Amino acid sequence: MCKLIIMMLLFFTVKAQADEPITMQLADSLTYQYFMSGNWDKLIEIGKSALAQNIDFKRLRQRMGYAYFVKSDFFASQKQYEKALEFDGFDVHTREYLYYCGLNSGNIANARIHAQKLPAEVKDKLGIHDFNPLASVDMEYNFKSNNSETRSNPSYFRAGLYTQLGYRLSVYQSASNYKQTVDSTLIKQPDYFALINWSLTSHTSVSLAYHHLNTSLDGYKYPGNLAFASISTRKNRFAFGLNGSFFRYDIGDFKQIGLSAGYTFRGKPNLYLNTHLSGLVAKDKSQLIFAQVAGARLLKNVWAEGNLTLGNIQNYNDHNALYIYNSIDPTLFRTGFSLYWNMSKNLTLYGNYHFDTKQIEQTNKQYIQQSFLGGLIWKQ
Amino acid sequence: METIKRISLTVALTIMFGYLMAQNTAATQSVFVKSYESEKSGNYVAAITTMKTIYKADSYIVNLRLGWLSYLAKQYSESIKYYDLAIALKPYAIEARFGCVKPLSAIESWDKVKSHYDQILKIDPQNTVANYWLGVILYNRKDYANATKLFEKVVNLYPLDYDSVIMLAWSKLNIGKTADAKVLFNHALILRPNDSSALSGLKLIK
Repeated sequence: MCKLIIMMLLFFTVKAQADEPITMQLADSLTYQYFMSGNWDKLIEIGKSALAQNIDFKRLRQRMGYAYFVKSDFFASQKQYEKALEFDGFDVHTREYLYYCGLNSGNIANARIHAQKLPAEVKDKLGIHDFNPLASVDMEYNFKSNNSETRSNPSYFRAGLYTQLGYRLSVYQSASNYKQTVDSTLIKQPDYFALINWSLTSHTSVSLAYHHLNTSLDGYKYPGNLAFASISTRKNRFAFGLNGSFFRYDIGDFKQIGLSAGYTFRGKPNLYLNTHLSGLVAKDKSQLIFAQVAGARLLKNVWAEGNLTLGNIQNYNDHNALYIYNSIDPTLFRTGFSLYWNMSKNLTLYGNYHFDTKQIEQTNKQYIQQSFLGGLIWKQ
Repeated sequence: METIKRISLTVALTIMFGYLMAQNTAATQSVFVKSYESEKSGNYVAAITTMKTIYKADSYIVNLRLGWLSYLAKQYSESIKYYDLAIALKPYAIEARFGCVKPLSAIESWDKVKSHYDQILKIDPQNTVANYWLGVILYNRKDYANATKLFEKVVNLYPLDYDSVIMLAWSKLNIGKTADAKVLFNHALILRPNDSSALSGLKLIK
């Protein structure tokens, strides 16, 4: 009975609120009630009404942030907590939830910046450390199958190590090996890759990378070196990036300039789109490469991603220069999809399929190559 | 003749201007009186409406009054807006900053509250209210070393002020100056016998 009366009171108060201007006291009282009863939709609704009427205070933002967080809308939650932080930059609850928002939206750099400002006891509770040599380890194996008579099926193996050097500085290192026989010539290519990331602010970071290729053809060495730099910024649902690289290889020098933009949509599937446009410049030719990625959360722990790349990607690099497409045969078209399964808090399993249209070097003869990749990521 | 005409005209205009000014001042005074009456009876919205009849964006006193009345009416965003205008008009007046701290505290905008106290202390470094409350903000942010400096200033000026003495005692305890803290907790017990905060502080030291 008592509950019924409270519910009726709340109903009439909300109804009244729709007709009359809301006051700070009403917004405070109602959002508190909805916070305590876990009525997140109503809390957000009242919060939006209050904000629309220029009523804004720290606890309102914190309650709205928490409501969005519980509803797994981490970008909306982050936005509210960032507003709460403008009121009080020393609020531990706000910082802690900004840290969680960063983690849950896949923005580790952002999470670490907020983690840095948490009190020591909270850092201990959450197991956050300034220096973490083994923050994550990943491994992947890739088998490719093609219908060319003169090209064997290539294989590729890669292992990576992610180290957090500080709250704003991290390094990712990777070693890989590629193997294929082309016209009876055995191609081997061990690689080393290192990327340093420095977070300038909670939303902007710069990266510098070095990639060394030690290509050998029947034992003859043709080393290549690539230097890469990028600046990227993520503001809530939007992401923008600018990158450039210089690749010196036995067949020439390649300069690449790229722009990227991404957006994550509202709603449960967390659909996101990332578009990359790159210009690849060599001595005798230049070309544009367009890459589109679309991803979504299929299940609570399963993500799917599809991608499409248009343009000749010979000697092109992507994923911050982790992958260099320096195959002897140019790739003219590439599409594929990936699945990520977060098996546990520490372990992610992923698989990837790619369909490539390739062209035998210096001919017009095309062939199809299909790629199957499996990998796992272990993180602390 | 021409000179007499000019003098007469100037005198007439001066008298007229003085008369109009007096009328204007009287009207302003009556608006203020009316707003005080409304405030006294708790009708803050009526007091605001009254004040708005003589509103001028460049009037310090009207903006300050509207800041205060809006705060009483719990219209915090409006209140901050008027106080900000008053502060811009008289940047070295600390009363508008003290006024603005109230609505900012109500919405827990502690960074801006701190900024106002910082500004007040730049203008008036010995101001005890600003020193005390800025000390409280820093203490809550666990910045005990800087909080200690501010509470010390207040205690030096007012050694018998219990609130400052007890805050200084806790700040000293948190920076590891236990001997100083013990003296201060005991001093607080003289000012307020059987004080639970002082007793719990002493318990931690023993």
